[in-house]
Amino acid sequence: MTRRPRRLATLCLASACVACQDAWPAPERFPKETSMTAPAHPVAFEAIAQRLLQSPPTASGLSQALGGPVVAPGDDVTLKLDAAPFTAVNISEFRGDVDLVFDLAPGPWVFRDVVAEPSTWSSGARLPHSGVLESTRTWTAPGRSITCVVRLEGEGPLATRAVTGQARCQVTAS
Amino acid sequence: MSHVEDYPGVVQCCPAAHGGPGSTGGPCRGQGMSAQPAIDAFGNDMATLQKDWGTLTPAARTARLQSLVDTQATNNNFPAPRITTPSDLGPGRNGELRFSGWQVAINPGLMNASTLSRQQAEQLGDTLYHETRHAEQWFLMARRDADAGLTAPQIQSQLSVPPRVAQAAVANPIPATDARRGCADAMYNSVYGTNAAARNATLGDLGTKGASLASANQALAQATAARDTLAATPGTTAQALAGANNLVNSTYATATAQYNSFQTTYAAYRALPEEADAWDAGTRAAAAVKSAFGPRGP
Repeated sequence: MTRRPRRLATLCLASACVACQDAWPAPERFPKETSMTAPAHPVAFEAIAQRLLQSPPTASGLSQALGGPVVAPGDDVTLKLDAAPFTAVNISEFRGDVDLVFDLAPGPWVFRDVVAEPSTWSSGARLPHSGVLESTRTWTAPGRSITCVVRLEGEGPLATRAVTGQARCQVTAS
Repeated sequence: MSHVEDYPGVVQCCPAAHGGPGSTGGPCRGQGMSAQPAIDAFGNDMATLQKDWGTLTPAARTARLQSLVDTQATNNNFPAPRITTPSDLGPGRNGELRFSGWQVAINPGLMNASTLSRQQAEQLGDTLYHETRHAEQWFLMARRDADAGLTAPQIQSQLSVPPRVAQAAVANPIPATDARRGCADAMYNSVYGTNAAARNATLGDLGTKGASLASANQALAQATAARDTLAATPGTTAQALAGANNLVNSTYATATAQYNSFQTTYAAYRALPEEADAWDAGTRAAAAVKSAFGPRGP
């Protein structure tokens, strides 16, 4: 028998709070309620990554770290985030790696809106065909690493390039 | 991957773009996923999937596509990318290799359709094979780095691939004597080596010029519609009609110039070694799907 959480879970990250309602009970995965906590400042990716790095590198572990439920094997979960620019995250596991896909609130957002330290992120080759540049940063801790990816378009300095689409992280156990 | 027709307004003007420069496949043709038996087997599996499509949930369809990719990855010795259906592929784009997460992104619109026609199955097969072939290429480049002595973390950093991909490459470096080394070198030089800057410029220009062409075509369509409305309106003066015609002519000239500029960049894109090879494999995969269906019934 599973325990049903009774309260909205709230995570405080650096300058703002991430509030997530538990996705139980299925099948209503998306919360009907939302936190009224309005962050004063955008949450930077680094803060979320640091939080995730402290959690067990499983879908359940990362879901629970963000105030979500236990995730059944092979299943995924979508949690609402009240943490601009992020509005939701989908968490799923694939062959030992955990993928997190973050939805962003309608922009426009530029890279420095989403990450705290643009200069610490690296960018390699453009993706085939689309030419989208994916900027990545990896954090490591004993037994796990997390790589986060932000998609950028346009030209000019990295910090002011437009963020396009969703942002992603992949957590790997080692 | 997307086709040149994916750029709005281009569809009427440039079907000849298919089979453009580099369509012979270059130094990688016939190797790995480009070997004809691998393509034929894929074609048969896609044809079977097309028949089952309507009975499957979107998740089950994704699982079937994952199985096809797993088979190719196992048989050709590279880590299988994950099939995903993200919402941010962008309009008109059918698929994309996202090597930083080792994922092949497929347009969710394709996966959610309740039916899959034979033609759509050929298109989906083309896209899936093309993007998975890119994953095989990226793994060859990682193996090349491994042969050069790079560690897994260094490969991960340089190529922006996940740890498991870098680790698999280190376990299987590709030596200079390997039959596939020429292919690996061609890919590496294009994406990360001596031609990387030119490649990045080409891919950047492709988007910019595609957008310019779409705008020019839209302006032409608007000018043409306005001229036709005037021509059909009783009492329109000859002077007004001549002015409308002049606008049509000038916007046509602009659209033609944009088209020619786009075509030049598109040809350069298709000539990139990794694209020439992936287009070659994908096109042949689509033909294999079509062949697997056999002749149409009455």
